[in-house]
Amino acid sequence: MVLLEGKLFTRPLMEKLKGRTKRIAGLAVSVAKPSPPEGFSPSGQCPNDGFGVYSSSEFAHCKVVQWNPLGNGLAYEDFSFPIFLLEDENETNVIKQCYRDHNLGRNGSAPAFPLCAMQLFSHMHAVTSTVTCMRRSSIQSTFSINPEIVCDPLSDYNVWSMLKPINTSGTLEPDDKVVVAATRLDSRSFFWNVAPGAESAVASFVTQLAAAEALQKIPSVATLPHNVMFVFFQGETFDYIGSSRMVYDMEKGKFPVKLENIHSFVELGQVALRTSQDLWMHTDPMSQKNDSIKNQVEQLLTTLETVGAGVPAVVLQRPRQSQPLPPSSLQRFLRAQNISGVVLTDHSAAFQNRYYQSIYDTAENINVSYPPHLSPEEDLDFVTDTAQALADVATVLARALYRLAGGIASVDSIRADPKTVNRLLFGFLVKANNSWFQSLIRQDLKPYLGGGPLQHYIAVSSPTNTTYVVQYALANLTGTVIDLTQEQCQDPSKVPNENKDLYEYSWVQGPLNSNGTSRLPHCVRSTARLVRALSPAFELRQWSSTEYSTWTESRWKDIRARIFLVASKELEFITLMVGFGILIFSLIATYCINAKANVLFLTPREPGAVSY
Amino acid sequence: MTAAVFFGCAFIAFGPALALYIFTIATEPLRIIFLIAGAFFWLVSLLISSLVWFMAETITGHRGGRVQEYVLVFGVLVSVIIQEAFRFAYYKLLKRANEGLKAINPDDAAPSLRLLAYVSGLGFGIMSGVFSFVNTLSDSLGPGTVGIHGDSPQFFLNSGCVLPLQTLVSPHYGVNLALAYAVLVLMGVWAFFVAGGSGRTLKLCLLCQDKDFLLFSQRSR
Repeated sequence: MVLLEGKLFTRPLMEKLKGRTKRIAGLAVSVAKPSPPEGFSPSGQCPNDGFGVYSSSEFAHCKVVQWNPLGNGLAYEDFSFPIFLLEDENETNVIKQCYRDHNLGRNGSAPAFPLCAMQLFSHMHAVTSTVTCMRRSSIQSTFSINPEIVCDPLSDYNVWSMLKPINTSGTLEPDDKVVVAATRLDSRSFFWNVAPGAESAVASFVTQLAAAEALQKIPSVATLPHNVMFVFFQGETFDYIGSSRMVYDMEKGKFPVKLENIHSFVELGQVALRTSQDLWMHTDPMSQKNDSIKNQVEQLLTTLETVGAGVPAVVLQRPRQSQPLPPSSLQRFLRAQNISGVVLTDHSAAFQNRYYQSIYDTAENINVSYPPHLSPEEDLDFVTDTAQALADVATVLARALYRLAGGIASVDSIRADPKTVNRLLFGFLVKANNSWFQSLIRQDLKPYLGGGPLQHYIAVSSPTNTTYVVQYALANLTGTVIDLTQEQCQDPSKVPNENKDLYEYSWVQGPLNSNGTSRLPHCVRSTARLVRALSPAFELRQWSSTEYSTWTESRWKDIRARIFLVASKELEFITLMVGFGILIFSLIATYCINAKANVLFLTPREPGAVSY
Repeated sequence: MTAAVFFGCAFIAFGPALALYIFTIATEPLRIIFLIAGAFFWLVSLLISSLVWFMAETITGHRGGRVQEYVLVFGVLVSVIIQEAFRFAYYKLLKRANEGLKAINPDDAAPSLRLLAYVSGLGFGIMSGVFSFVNTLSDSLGPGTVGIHGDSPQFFLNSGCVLPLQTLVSPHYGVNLALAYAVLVLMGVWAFFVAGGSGRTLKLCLLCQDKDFLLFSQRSR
């Protein structure tokens, strides 16, 4: 068993450990505090390669731009021993103390028994690949009364909402055009269910939430020529699960918006680490070979630049010509249809994020920190610089979406609220169980807020904490409070003016009343909804598909670890032999004594049997 | 793995008792019944003494430290007194039962009081042993051994040989161990003499002169 310091957890060392599989039984890694200065990213150097739009062109496999040069690909390697993460300092110290007490030999000799030992339980039921485990699971569920499923596909829900409500029971007319604003919700790391994802996911969707709030506040929203759709894709880390599913649904007509309704597409990539206020606009060179698309993209970029001129804190830049798109959901849409789209990021070529999809991509990575003397409630109102910077990006996005949707009035009044951005960042990155999040959600979802920050891994049971909180935050920021009772809110079909096809109604906890004793729940009407994000490969049962994501997660029984002392084999053998010896000796002795009992033990003569 | 330790300790602790059971008790059904009844009486005595201790604990209000120690000592004393009382009660019960058995079965030889004493004593002893040791035994099944907080690694071996577990608590366990072994030996010798043996009979038996002895005692009739 190896206990590894965080800063030694690098690819060359792991290669060495992997090479000697017989001797390494397990690995426990302690988190490096502070984060390794040279960066650490277990993701690949070309994330989501092969599932974007450049699979077979001159831009394939990151030949032109390597997006994640610090990536060491550890997360995609197969290790035959369990690897655990020790986040708690105290646990690491207990293990180190046990080692120092028992496993160090004195004066250079080998240590004597009993020795300190560690056991890591992490048995995984699935083996080889998705194809094998899905095949086994399907055989089980077809033929067995008590099926033993060994793996589950990664799936969850995308969150989406419309600026103007649409009828979700049908599809839009082909003339109704929609401007799509997209971003991703999830991240990952090397270890299961640890995914702080501050720069890779949280900052982007928080910015989009703020932009949605700013747009909804405009009074003339109902008169805009085009509609605006805000969508938050789940599962983009694992070969675009959410966006590939949405494109598939759009093609099959199962989603109210279809591909031909898309007017333009604005995506937020990683935006929190802007250097010198630059915000880069990436476009796809291949689709622009078509002239009409090229013109539309040019219009899109000029709109953005015009709007950006009104926000001095954000400088919009274009990267050099013929650079491909970074890994983004727009690539999946371009696979299906040529649309004009742009991806806004803080990097022109390689990522600024040195901890892309790792355990170190935390609030610290994007400089979100609060003065220690403030209480958590005061932190909610303390606007950090990062929050201000993201609010500026949100302002640019909101204004650009307004213009793209055909709005002609002045955009100066459209501003994203830095306080909202800060509250969202605090909740998602530092402490989810705060008073604002508590007031947003339904009562039965309280346990989803957990202890510290939220983890943004997609997981297999849905919806996850992040999905729910984002949906309810979106509902709170873009919806309206209406005066319905709880029964009416949960079933609005009976209420005359309310329409379940147009809107989503949720009965939320509400804020604490003035005494602080109970809550004031109310009904929120919004267009924020969930739509299934399961890779089409599992719908079509094509488990070896290279077209769609086929990621699955194995099932397991329990995951735990323990340390204890082991005695030498000699001592155990001696104990067993002594036991056998005593048993045999006592059997013999008892037999002999029993046979000679009337000799050995004189009974006192009964009165009456007198010897003469 | 430490199934070895488990079996070794189980045999050390319960080997003699098992041997006694196989050769002396298992042959006659009546003796088995008396053995199990004896074990049950011991359990009841333990239950009552634990109730007394629990009440004492509740009355003193779970205060820690010295008060807890005194309550524990009080509990142990009470437990010993109650155990002896139950032994006496069982003896009385057996005497009554003996007459009843004689009435039902006048032909079969009734078991002598000495035999009953032996059987009931064995029952008490087995139950007491099981209760003290089974907890340690079940822990020994896991892959580890004691010592992570500074205890001795020969814990299992010794606790098997000496059922009382005061070695765990006392820091001077070496002295305690020797004392416990000495008490064990003394008890064994005393039991032998109480059961009717003597130095003479032992010598006769060991030197295999018993046949002459029997003939001798018969001739004197």
